[in-house]
Amino acid sequence: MINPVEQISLARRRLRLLAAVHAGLTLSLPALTALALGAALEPIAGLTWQRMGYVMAAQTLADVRLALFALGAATSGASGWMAWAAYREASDFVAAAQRVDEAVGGRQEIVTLATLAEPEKSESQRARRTPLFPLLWRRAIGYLERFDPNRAFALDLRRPLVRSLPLAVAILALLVAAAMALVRPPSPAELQASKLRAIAEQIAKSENPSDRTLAAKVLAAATALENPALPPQEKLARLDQVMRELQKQPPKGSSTEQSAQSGNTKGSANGQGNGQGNSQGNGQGQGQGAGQGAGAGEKPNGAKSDQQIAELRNDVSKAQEQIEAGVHDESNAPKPANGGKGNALKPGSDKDRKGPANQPDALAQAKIPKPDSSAKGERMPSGGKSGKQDKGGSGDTHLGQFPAAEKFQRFSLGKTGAPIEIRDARYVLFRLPTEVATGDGGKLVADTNRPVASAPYANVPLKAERLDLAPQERQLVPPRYRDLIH
Amino acid sequence: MGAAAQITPAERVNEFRRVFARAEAEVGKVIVGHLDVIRKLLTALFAGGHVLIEGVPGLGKTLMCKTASDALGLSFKRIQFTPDLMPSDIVGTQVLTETDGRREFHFKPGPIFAHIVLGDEINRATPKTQSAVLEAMEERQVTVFGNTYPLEPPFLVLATQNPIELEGTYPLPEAQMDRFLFKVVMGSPKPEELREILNRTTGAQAHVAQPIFSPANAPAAIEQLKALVREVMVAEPVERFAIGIIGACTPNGPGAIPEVSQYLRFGPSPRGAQALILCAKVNALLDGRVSVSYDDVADAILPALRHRLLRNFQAEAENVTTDSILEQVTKRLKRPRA
Repeated sequence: MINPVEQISLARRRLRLLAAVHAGLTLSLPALTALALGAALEPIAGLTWQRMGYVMAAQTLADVRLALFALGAATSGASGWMAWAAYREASDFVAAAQRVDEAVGGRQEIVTLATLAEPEKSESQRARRTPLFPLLWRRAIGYLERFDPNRAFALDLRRPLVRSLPLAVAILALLVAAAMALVRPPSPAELQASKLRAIAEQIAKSENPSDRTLAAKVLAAATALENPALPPQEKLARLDQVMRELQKQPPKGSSTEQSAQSGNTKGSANGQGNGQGNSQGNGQGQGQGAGQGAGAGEKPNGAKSDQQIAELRNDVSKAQEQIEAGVHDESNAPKPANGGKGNALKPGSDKDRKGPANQPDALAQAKIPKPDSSAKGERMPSGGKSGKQDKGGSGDTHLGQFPAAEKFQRFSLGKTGAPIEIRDARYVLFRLPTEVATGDGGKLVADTNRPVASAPYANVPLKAERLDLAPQERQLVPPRYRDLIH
Repeated sequence: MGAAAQITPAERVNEFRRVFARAEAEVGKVIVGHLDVIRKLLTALFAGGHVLIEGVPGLGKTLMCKTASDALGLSFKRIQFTPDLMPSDIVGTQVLTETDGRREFHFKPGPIFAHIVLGDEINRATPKTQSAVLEAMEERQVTVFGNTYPLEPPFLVLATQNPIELEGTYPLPEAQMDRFLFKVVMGSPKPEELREILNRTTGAQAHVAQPIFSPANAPAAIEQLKALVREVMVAEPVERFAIGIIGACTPNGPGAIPEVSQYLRFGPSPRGAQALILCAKVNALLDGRVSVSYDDVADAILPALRHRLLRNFQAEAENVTTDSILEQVTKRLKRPRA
């Protein structure tokens, strides 16, 4: 014969367990959501805002990930606390009896029995028992004979999970809102870094160790490029490393020798060895010989192509240009005097300040707009096209708008003085005499009042021999010509 | 008592159910319909309370009480309350008698000295007379000229009052209404019931209730059954449920519903909670249980509380009855959940 009190105790144990599981599960889904979002934030970024052309700063991304992990940890902690609290709350014997009563349809007879036979209050409750208590006991046995707590109180995962769904959705919505608030269009450096990273990922698929080394360096350079805390010199150094690594790469012919060999076997078998030769390598002859094999053969799996190398060089040099432009902008930007207080020193107002002509790298620091320059407001004399629209057809070769002269001498008529010192001048400006029309035939007469220079000058750089030296500034070369300059 | 101790609790419960069912059946032989009123009347008898029956004349209130007493084998007295009725006419008085040449006062018991007393149209008597009856109801004893005379148990007062013809009446004060365990309302019979009434009362065959107990054993037997009612157990959550009902009916109380606060001046007294539990205990026994359920308590709400709620002017002006308020309370009642 069963003991109703023991049965109720068993049911209480089961109910405690269920209460703890249910309470714990109520917050489990939000906790898992937060942790999963934190762990998969980078893939999510790649699939969402990065695909749409937006970026989130690396530090911000790390902060968001940290916040998600913290939220997940806090929710997990709260879930544990709720489970413990539910476990304690479900320890009430009478409350457990009430659940049993409802399960067996006891019409409060089980509850009454539990009230009068609660083990913890046995002595105090015994006084409330009446002569009818044995009958109540027997009736309770009748109810509980076929009662199985495990079957009556089954684990129901659906309810707590459904209850926790809104909170999980709220966390997801919070992440979406945070992403919308924190993402921004990428800076040119970040754009360049992403291009480098994409190329590096393609190269990294190669089985060649040297390719993997190159990919790693490119990735490191891309990471450095995105790091705002890294000084520009360091970024340039990384890019230089990549550039050197690129130069170490075997030229087109030798790089494709392996594929040429495999290609030869196939080519001979097919009888067609005239594949497309690479016209870009070092030397036509070498490229031709290698190109025949490569054309017929299959390229090794993941080997970098010439186009990738060219793109990589192009992107690296663009990145270098951007960094240098950024450095020049910073160095040329007027700085507030007296820590930003008082009147700032106007350009040209300091008589003791040397102009860029006297500086050794004056040309390098001269603000010459570049086709890819991110500086806004610089008008490019490229037929009205903006720098972005200008594909480099003619914009890459022009010099752009001339810089304003910082140190100049004006030669005026009727004034005499020391001879003009234009030896170090970069450009010379001429004012041609005005045309004077005389008579009906339209005969031109030279202006006799034109100014006469005391020193010879010409409309060309005055020191031709200096042009042989390495230029002090780096100028962008159109991509289609870059491979010719090696 | 010794015999009662030998029988098992189950047998006692079964005996209670048998007696109750037989009493219902015997009364039902005479009274057509009104099953709920008969049940409440018998419930009040076994719970040890009194019943106020409200209904228009001619519904068989007096006949029902007389039949119940006949069925149970109890003594029955009827008092017609009139404005000139004096308390001594009810409780009895001292009369001067001469015995062996000596004159002495002897107590002559009034009609209150019976097991079942029917106070017909109790609201027609003066408050002084009403209070004499109500004192006997509460104390179960009467005091005449300084002498106290206990009333023999079981003692049940069934008071009737007419809801119409209120001119010249003395409506019972709320404090005295509170002493009735139940207030039951007798409605008009349905057409089928009326036809049956006609058949029974206008025919040659007389319908008489057969007594369940002999007059000598009836009081003791009924007292044993009343004791059984008191032994029925109540769980703590069920007690909280009954207390919650009282709180819900108390204006501006913690669990009061808006209608209660709007239409009531006062809620039920603790006697209301006692009435709920006692009625619930009888209901449990009738169901064969020895513990009270929520349904047993809910079933007692209307008869046990309807006369304990004091309506305010707004309720009277809008003709809002206590029954409608209690129905709202019952609808919104939340049973304790684990």
